[in-house]
Amino acid sequence: MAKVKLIPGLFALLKMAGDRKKHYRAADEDYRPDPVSDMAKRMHPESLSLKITGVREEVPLVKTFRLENMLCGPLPVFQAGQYISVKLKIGDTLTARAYTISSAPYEAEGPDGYYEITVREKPDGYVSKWMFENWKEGTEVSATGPHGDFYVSPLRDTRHIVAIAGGCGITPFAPMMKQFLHDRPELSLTLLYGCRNPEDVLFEKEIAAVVAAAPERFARFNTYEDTAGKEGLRKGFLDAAFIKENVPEPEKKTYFICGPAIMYSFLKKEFPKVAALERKQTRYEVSGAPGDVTRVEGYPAGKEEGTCTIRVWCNGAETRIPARKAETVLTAIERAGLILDSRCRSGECGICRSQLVSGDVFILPDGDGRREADKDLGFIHPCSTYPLSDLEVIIPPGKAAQT
Amino acid sequence: MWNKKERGVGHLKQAYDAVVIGSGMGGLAAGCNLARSGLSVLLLEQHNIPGGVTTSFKRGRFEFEISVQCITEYGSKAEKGPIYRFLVDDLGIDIDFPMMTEGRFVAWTDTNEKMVVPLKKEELIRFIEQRVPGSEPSIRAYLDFCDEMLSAINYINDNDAAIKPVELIMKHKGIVAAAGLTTKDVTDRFQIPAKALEYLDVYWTFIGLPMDAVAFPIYGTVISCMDSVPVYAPRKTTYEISALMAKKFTELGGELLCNTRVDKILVENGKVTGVVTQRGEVVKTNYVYSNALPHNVFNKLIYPKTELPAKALKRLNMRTVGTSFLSMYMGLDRSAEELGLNHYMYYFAKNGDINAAYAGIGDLTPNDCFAGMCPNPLIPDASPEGTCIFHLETICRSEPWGELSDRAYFAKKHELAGDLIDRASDVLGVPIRDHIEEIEVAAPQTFARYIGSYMGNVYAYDHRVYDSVVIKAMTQDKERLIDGLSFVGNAGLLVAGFPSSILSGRLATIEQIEHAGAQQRRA
Repeated sequence: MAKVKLIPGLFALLKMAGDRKKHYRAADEDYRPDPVSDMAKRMHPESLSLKITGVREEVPLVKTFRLENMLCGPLPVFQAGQYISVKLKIGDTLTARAYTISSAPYEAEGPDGYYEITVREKPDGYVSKWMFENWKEGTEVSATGPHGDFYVSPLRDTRHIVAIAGGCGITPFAPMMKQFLHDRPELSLTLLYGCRNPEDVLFEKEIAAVVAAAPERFARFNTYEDTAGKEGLRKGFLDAAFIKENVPEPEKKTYFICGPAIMYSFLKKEFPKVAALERKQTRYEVSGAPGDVTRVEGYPAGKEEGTCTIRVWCNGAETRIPARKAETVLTAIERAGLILDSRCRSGECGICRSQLVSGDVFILPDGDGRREADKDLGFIHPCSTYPLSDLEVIIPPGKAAQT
Repeated sequence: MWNKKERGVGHLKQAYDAVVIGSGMGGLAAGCNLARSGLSVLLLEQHNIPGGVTTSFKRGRFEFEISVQCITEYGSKAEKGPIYRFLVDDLGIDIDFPMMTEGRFVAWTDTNEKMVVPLKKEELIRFIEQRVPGSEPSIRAYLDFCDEMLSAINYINDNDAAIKPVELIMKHKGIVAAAGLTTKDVTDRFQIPAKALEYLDVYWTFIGLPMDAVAFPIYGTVISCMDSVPVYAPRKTTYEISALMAKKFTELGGELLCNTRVDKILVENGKVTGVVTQRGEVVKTNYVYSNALPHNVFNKLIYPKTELPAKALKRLNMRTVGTSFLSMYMGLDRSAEELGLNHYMYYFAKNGDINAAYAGIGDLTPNDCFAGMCPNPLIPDASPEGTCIFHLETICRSEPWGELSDRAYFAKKHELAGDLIDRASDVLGVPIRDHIEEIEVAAPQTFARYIGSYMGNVYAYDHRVYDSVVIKAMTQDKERLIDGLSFVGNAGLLVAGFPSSILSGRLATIEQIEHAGAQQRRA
C-alpha cells in the first residue's frame, strides 16, 4: 500500500548522508562577505560623524550649516525631504533635534559631498540659540539618519507635486526642486510659499535658478503677511484662493505641506474649497511638539499646573527626576541628563518607545504613532507624551551624544 | 501593574545562566522557556522593539504586518497543537486568533485561470478531482502521507533533541522513509497527475525552493499544516505575539534589553564564557542561544577568532543560503469590499510551473510569480473604516541586490514593486495605484537593516534534502561545535517559519533546563 517504502527510503537516506558528506568535503573554510548588510549599514549607519565646514546667514536669524563626513567615504544617500537627527549636549542635557536636509541629494555625493541644514533662531528656543552661539566652522557634530517618510513616492504620488511651505517649512522643497531638475525628469513641482515679508524669503536664488532652467516643469508663487510696501507682491494668507489661482487641475495633484501647526489646521479647512481631494493627496510633514500643549484639543482642563516626579528605570538603574506638566516626558528625561534616543520627536517613529509602569499621561492625538499592541500593553512614545501625574517609566538604553 | 521583581529590575548582573541573542520568535521562546524554569536569562535585542520579522510598522493611519500570513500548528482548545501548548499552556499567553476558512486565491495568467484553492483536505481533494478527474485516490494517499510528516515533526518537537533513529523508525517510519527524498520524488511515487500537482504546489512560496529540490518532510509538513489543522490569522499583527511574549518574559524574571547589539561571543577552550555588548558590557554565561544566524555568528561574533573551529565555516558553507523578499506594504484608501479584494491570501503566477517561477527569483527583473495578502476580509478592523491593507511580495535571492549601487537601489526596488502592483491590478481588475495612500517597499537591504540577518535573508537556509530536518536531528550533536552555543529561530532544527521558530526556542533550551533541574535535585 505505502508508496514510499521504508527499505528503499533507508537507501535514499544513506545516499543523502553520503551527499551531505560530499557537500561538506567540498565546502571551503572562508568567511563570507555580506554586501547586502554592508549596503544597509552604509545607507543607515548607526551614527554620523560630521564636521561643520561652512556657515552662512540666509536672512537675519536664519543660518545654514554645511556638514561634511569626518569618516572616509561618502555620506549616506537620501531622498529629498528626509531629515537628520542632530545629537546635542547642552550643559547637562543630552537632546536631539530633527532638521530637514536643505541641500539636494546629489550634493551629498562623492568625497566632497555635504548635507546642509537650515535653522531659525527662535526667541525662546534654547537649542537654536545654543547652536547659533556654539556652532562654528570646524565644530564636530554627531547625528543619525537620514530618516523620514516625507518624500515623493513614485508609486503613490502624482508626477506633478504641489509644495506648500510656510516660513522655514521651505527646507524640504528646495532640495526636491534641485533634485528633480538634476535627475527626475518625470517630475514637476509648483511651490506655494507663504512668508512673513519679502526679507524673509529663503533659498530665493536656488529656487529661481531651478524655475529658470525648466519653467515648463517648475513654478513658484509667494504670498506675504506683509509686503513691506513693495509693488506687485501678493499679500494675504496661503488659502484656497491662492492655491486655485496658481495650480491648474488642483484635484489631480499631490500636495506636500510643511510649515507651522497653525498653517496645517488652516489648510485643512481650506482644501475642501479647492477641490474634493482624497486624503492621500495631502501629505503633512510632522512638526514636533506644539508650543503650548494645554491648547491642544483633548488636553484635560485643570491638569496643566505644576510639576511632578518621574521615576525612570534604565538598564536596571533608577533615577527620580522632576518634570513640568506642560512639557514632554522626553524633555524631562533629557534635562535630567539621562540618555533616551529620539528622532522624529513627533510621536511617529517610535525610537524613544518606553514602558509606562504607572501614572496618567496625555498623548498628542496627532502624535500617537504607537502600534496597537503597544497601546494595550502601556508603552508610550515619550516625545509626544505629557505627564499629568507622577510617573514611573522604563526607558531603553541609548547612545550618548558626542558633542 | 508589574511589581519590581516581575519587571526584572536590578542592575545588569555580571553573570547569567543564559544569554539569548535576538528577540525573534526563537529568541523569545528560548528566553521564556528558560525564565519560567527559574534560570536567570538576559535577552539582548539590537532593535528598539522585540520580535525580529514577527512585527509590524506604522505609516500614517495604517499598521502593517511585516511577514507572517498565517499561524499554523496552533490547533484549538479541543485539539491543542504544539504552539497552543507552548503559548497558552506553558506561558499563559492566550490570543484570540481569527480562524481562516477560505484557501488561497490563485491566478494563473497564461490560461487566465482564477480560483480559490481550498484549505481543508476534503474540500481540496474534491476541488482537484473536479478539475482532474480520477486524481482523488492518489491525492488522498499523498495528503495522508503529508500528515505523517507533520505528526513526525511534532514528535521531534515534543521529544527534545535526543532523537534516536531507531525510535523514529518505530514510531514514524514515514518521515525516515522520505528523509532522503525531494517532494518531486514523493509525488512521482504517488503517481499524481501533473495538472493535479499544480494545485498542491502553490504553497512553495512558504519555502522558497522548487519541488525537485525541497526536502519532502518539509513541504509535506507545510501542506499538512495548511489542510489538516486549523489555520489562523494574526488579529493585531504578529507584533502582538512578540509584545506579549516579551512582557511574559520580563514577568517571569527575564531581563530584556532593547537597543543592545551583541558584538562578541566569548569562547575559551571550546566553551562559551560570555558575551560583550556594543557598549562594551561584559556578561558572563555558559549558555548562549543565538537567534542570529550561524552566518552572522561564525563570520563575525566568535571571539577570539582562534576559537572558531574550521569545521564551523565548512559546515556553514556547505549549505545554500535561503531567500529574502521584495515586499510592498500598501494602505489603500477604499475598503476591501469596495475594491473587490475579497480574499486573504493571494498567489499570482504565469502557470503552475514552479521551476520556471523559481528560476525567476535570481535576478533583478520583473517577476511573474508573487504572493499577496489582504487582511481585511478576515479582520475587518485591520485598518480604519473605508480603507484596507494590501501586501504583495515576491521571493528573491539577495545576491543581485548586493551588486546594486547605493543610488540605484531606491529606483530599482520601486521599479520592481511597481511592476508587481501593475500585474496584480491587471489580474484583479483593481486600480491599485489610484488608491495607494501609504506604501513602503522592503528589499533584502531593508531586512538586513532591521533584523541584521546575513544578506538580509528571511528564510535562513534552503531545505535541501542533504540539509533538512531528519538528518539535522540525527546529527545535531556534531552541529554543536562550540560548547554552550545553540541556534534558535529559522536556523534551528526545524522548518523556517513562524511556528517552527517558536518551537525551536523551546526545543533548544530543554537540555539546559533538565541539566539545571538535575543539579538542583542533587543539591
